[in-house]
Amino acid sequence: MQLQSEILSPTLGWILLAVFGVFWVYLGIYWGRKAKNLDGYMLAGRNVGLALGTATAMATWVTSNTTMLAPQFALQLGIWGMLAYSTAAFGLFIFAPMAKRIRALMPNGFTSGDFIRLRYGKAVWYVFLLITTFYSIIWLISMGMAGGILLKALSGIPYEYGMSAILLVCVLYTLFGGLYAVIGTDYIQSIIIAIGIIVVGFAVLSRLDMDAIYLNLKENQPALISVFIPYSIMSLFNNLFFGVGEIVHNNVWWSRAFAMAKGVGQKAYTFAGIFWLPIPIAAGFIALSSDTLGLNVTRPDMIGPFVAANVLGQIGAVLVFVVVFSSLASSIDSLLAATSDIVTEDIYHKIFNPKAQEKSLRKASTYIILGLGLITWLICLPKIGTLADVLFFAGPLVASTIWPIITGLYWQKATKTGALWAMILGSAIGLIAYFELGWYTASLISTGVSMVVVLLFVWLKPENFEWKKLNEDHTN
Amino acid sequence: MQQVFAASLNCDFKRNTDKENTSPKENEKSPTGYYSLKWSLIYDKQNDSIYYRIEQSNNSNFSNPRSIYFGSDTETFISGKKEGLYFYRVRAELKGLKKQFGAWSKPYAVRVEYQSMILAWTLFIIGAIIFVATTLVILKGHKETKDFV
Repeated sequence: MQLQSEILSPTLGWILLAVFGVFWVYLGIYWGRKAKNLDGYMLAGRNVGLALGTATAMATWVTSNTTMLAPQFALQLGIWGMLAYSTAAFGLFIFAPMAKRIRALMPNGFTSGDFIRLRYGKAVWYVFLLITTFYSIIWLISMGMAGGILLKALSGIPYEYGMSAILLVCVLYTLFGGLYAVIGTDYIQSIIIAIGIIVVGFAVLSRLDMDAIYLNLKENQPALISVFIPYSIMSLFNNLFFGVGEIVHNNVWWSRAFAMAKGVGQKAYTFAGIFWLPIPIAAGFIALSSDTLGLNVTRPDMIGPFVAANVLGQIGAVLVFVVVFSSLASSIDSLLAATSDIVTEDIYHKIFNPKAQEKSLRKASTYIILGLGLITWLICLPKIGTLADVLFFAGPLVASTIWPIITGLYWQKATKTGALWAMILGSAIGLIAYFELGWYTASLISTGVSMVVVLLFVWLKPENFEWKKLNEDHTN
Repeated sequence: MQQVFAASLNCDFKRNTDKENTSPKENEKSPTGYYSLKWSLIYDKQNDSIYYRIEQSNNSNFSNPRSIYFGSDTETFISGKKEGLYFYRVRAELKGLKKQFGAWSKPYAVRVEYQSMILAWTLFIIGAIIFVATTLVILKGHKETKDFV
């Protein structure tokens, strides 16, 4: 059996890292010149068109989690796992009409936190800020770890160095360019990702013997192709709601809804979902061949890049490196920018310094991006658990926000108290399910509890919210 | 001399769990059919010239073993197992030198026991209901948004 060892030399790994790193930072500086004011820096001038909008949504949602976690899902949960992962596309589909409504109700909005504060008041807002900040940092950590693990596995670059280099590149170009740079680089990265995945996918599939893979699975890993496996069945809707929760609540997606020109958001998110849907299925399928190929898997989250690189050799490894580096960068920059926006606007501006002017907000945003990068780096250093362990812990928290946000956006009768208890009880009971039943139930149970609580309060004590309150004046 | 050398190659599995509910006959329980096996030398430090052979069997006597790994890694990830009791044993061998190997480790037993199908389908149906309800709220709201906008 082959070993899970490096395919590229560390020198080649460093060269690739340097070439792409310098390229992204250069583009960050180039696009950063367009950001003349805070609206430009945080929301790219609120005038992003359909092509850029679709590309940025797709590239951000590909992430390291699609290229690395989708194959892990297939290896752990089989065919159901591939389907379960692809249901994350529903997050984009569900957010598409929401983007239109967000733009209509909050033409001057900045963050998802703005919506929660204006719609439900401060108590719900504080809980929401805790959830979204925790999730954003967890997501950043999972991607920082993915970068380090990938570089180590493909080229032997020590985990600490690879992870640090990738984080540094993303922090630098986000710092220089704000959302202009993020969306611009996302466009190029989405093209690289799409072409790379198609080339790698076809090349790998053309070299694999499907009959041999099926027979081997049937003989040695029968649960991966069986329909009646309890944990796989439970994972389907669990993953769907995790994906919906991630998108519906997080400022990464809200900031794009604010940034896209009028009439663009709905189409852009729908197209992004359609383009994204087949990627985890293709990436996941590759993982099912690992046993047939005689590859020893030591880390399930590395199985996708590892199989592709082994089947395609050096050129394949370079392609995998470029695709995953692009998908990592496209998500880390988005998350850094969007999280810095919510910390700057919701925490620094609204809580600590309400009189802050544009110049000091821009300065705060810079420090916050640097701080987020530093926190992520420090937590990534000890390499805790696999990507799935790290990421799915946040599942029940984000899933608990789905119903408060959706009903808050569409129902005048949705209540503050209902939203507050939906988030608290959904998160708490979801976390209990995470430990007692398994990670593959936590988000589903959290969403269910949250939905029941929201409906109960709407039924018992409905409110009558005035939509115009969401149109906040941000002029200072 | 040969025997002393072989003894220094003895190795054993590391337990993944200390859960009390595992019986003396099994070292680990898995509700998912996937798990990792990790092993190490008992006496010597890890060495690149040492390879490990892992065998799997459905009985502790290893009457019909299947070799699942041979190489220098000290862990492997196993998935796709159906319900049942799986036994593993590991042996260290010196690379390139035939017959230079330690004794087989004690069997390491993993019981794969899924959660109930009733729980799985119940959660599946609940998930489907929540999904339909969520979609309906958005579709109905979207229709009103058109008028609103």
